Amino acid sequence: MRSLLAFIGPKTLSEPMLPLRFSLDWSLGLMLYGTVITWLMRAAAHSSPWQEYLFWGGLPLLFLPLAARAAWPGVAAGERLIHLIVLAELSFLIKVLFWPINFAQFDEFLHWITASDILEAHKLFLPNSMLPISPLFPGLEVVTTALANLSGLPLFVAANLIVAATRGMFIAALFGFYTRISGSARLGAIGSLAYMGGSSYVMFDSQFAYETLALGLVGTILVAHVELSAAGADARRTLTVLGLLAAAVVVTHHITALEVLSLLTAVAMLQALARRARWRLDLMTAALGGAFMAVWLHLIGNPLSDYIGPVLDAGVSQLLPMLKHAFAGSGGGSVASAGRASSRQAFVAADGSHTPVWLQIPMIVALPVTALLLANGFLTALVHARGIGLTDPGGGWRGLVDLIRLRWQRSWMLLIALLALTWPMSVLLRLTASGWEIGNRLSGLSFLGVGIVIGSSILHWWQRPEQWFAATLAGLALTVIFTGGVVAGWGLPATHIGYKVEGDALSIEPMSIDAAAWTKQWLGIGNRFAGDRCNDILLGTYGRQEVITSLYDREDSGALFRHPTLSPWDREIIQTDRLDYLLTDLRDSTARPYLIGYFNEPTDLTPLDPRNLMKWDDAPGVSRIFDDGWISIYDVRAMRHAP
Amino acid sequence: MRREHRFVLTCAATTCASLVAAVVPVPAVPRALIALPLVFVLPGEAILRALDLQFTRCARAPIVVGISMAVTLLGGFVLDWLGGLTPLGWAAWLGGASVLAAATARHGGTCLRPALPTFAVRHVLMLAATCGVLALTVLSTVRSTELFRPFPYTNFWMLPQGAAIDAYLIGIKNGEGRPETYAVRLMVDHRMAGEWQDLVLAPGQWLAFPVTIPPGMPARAWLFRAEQPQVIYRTVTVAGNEEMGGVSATSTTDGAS
Repeated sequence: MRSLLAFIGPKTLSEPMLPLRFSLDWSLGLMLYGTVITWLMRAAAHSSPWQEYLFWGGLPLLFLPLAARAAWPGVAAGERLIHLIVLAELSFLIKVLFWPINFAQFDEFLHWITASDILEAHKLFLPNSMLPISPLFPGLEVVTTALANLSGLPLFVAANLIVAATRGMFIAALFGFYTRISGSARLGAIGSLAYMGGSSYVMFDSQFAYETLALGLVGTILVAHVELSAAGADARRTLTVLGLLAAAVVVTHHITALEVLSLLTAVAMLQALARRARWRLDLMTAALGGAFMAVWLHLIGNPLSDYIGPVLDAGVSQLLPMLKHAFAGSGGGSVASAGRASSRQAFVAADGSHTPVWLQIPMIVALPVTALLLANGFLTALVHARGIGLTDPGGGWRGLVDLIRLRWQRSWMLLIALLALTWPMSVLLRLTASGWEIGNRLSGLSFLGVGIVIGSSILHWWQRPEQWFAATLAGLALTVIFTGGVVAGWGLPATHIGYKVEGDALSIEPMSIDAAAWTKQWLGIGNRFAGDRCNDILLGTYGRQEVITSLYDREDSGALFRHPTLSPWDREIIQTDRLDYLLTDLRDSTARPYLIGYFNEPTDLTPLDPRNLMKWDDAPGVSRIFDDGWISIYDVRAMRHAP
Repeated sequence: MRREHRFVLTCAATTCASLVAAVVPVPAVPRALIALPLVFVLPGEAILRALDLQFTRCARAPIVVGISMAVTLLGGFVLDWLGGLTPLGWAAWLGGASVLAAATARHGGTCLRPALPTFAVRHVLMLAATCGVLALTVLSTVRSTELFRPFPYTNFWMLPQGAAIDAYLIGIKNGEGRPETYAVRLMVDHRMAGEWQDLVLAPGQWLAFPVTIPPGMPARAWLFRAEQPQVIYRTVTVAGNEEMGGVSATSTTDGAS
């Protein structure tokens, strides 16, 4: 019991006074090393069965040396920052090199449509049937098209420059924020490294998608907030800087805006509770952000409840039976069966393919390692929020009493440490069929807390350069958390071996791209199309066609391909949705979908009957105008206009 | 020259250069070099100087980039309202905001300059090697991605052409990754209406030729490959109605990739 209390109890954070050294040799040497490892990781891309081993073997080799140097005692803050930025950019590069000739991830295609619309029409708010909410939060696309317009660079290059700048900006901001709220650059570096272990960091937050830019801006809000406070900036300066940044987040991404407004409000309340000097100004800042959000939602007609509501409902409604099932055990009857139905099978894709055991290990190990470090560092981080200093002798359990008596100086430290409590929720949500998306996104928020808590834990037991055992343990723990995060957030699709049916990025290949580009060249743009999930995104981008979806139109395209014979219902859909063309892909009849389903609406995962796709060959008034062996395009305009 | 003047002049020069690049053709690299500071640095730096705000060195850089992006994306709404989401509009907005903010900075603002370490020859070599490996990495993965071709394919199509109701176009594109010889047979109302042999296409090459299909006639075109002349390789159709009529077809190989 005493050992347990000693393990989880609040400990004094102290750092020995060491001469700080900035080494260009280390900075540039590790930069070169990391680039070579990145090359090796992607050297066999698309061509070799060894690429999986090269990629996953290279990942810890990339992270460990850079992380070790960034976290090493006695290193200058500037050098730590260089290593963090190199890691952030190289982990972005491995995502870009997945398919370096154009966008490849599903979400990227959705934003590519909005950006192309702005670039071509020189107007905002044009409809996007694939993601109707995207044109209403066009921050990312505005910045990207600004750069594309000014530089003349292709959209893909401009987009990657924006994301690369955002990645660097975010990690620098996070490091500055952690450093400021903890008072230790080393804790800032270790916290930032731990943050990189979040499941969304390497892939999801590297995408050309609105969350990426919004998250980067949140980082700048956090660091600007604490820096302005430390500088004692007046209300005019504070509100100008934070107002600009908050307004930018509000028009960029809805959920991230809500998250940062919640953080700003919470910290203002903590400041008020502790009677800190700037609490009124902090409250004004939060109110200003809230006012921006309210005005923006009013202007765009508040689409959030329709967009986020169903996802939240489904996630929570699946999480509850799953938890009941976990507590009810095998004898839970209907609750147990409901729990099993709503939970996701870990490491199994929708098509039934399993993640190899060797790849499961990092994630399985990362969970208890993260939990142990959180348990070890949580109370330490909390007590450190009292803000007496890194060498405060009056810490320990007595420090908690101070917190209960509302005595603290570092409200941000307290709030961010408390955020770590959301980590178990993000892990649990990832195990549900509908909630995994929320869980994945929550991980970005919860790892803000996880970072500072793990940083506090490691800083306590690794203080001097000669502590090699502690250094090895810390390096391994951070590397396992990082690798486990990449497995959880990206997994097998990180490498591109062959073609997968409806596998999003794994379904992108030249034949499908060429078919979509053919529609633009020979049919013109803006025709109304129905197809499967992966060909839809290609039609919307390479083809610049208007794809029907249940998000925007009356029916999802899947309804047209669910029966082997033509029915009046098919004709009604074509007429109601004013369809011009259909696209069918016979590969959908060869295997189960690798990810969500064949169409945008969740459907049966059994392979499509080829007759469902080929029935259009014999449909009266329907011409088969294109055939490449797998993909066919049908002209249904005669049926659409038939009485 | 005083610091505040230097910075105002930098902003003004970049603005002028971007305005020129917006209306006159400028090579890609210099144009990008002008655009990058205008989107990522100058507006934020100018605003921080105008507000005379002091931050630590590590924190200042992300705040500058963040504010610059915020100015850019908020400017997008102004330009949208003004109908100015064009290169010229962007250059005017970002340049104008930077110059205006820089000009209001009374003392050039507070900008802590990072103490740059001294570079030795080995450092330059390491940096050059990093750039070399980076270029090699990008080029090799681009090459391997371009070679990734899990499905060799041939596109075959038949479409109405122009305003004439009996004019159609038959097209073939070779995506097989090797030279192919094709033959096309056109059936109109279940009767042979035309045949084209020995259509040789290099990888990536396409051709299209006009055919005539009378209004209302059902038509079907088949594509064959020389190596399997009896096997229908691709099929495209034109839905007809009950009417019958004559057919004439001509062929030209006009297209190239």
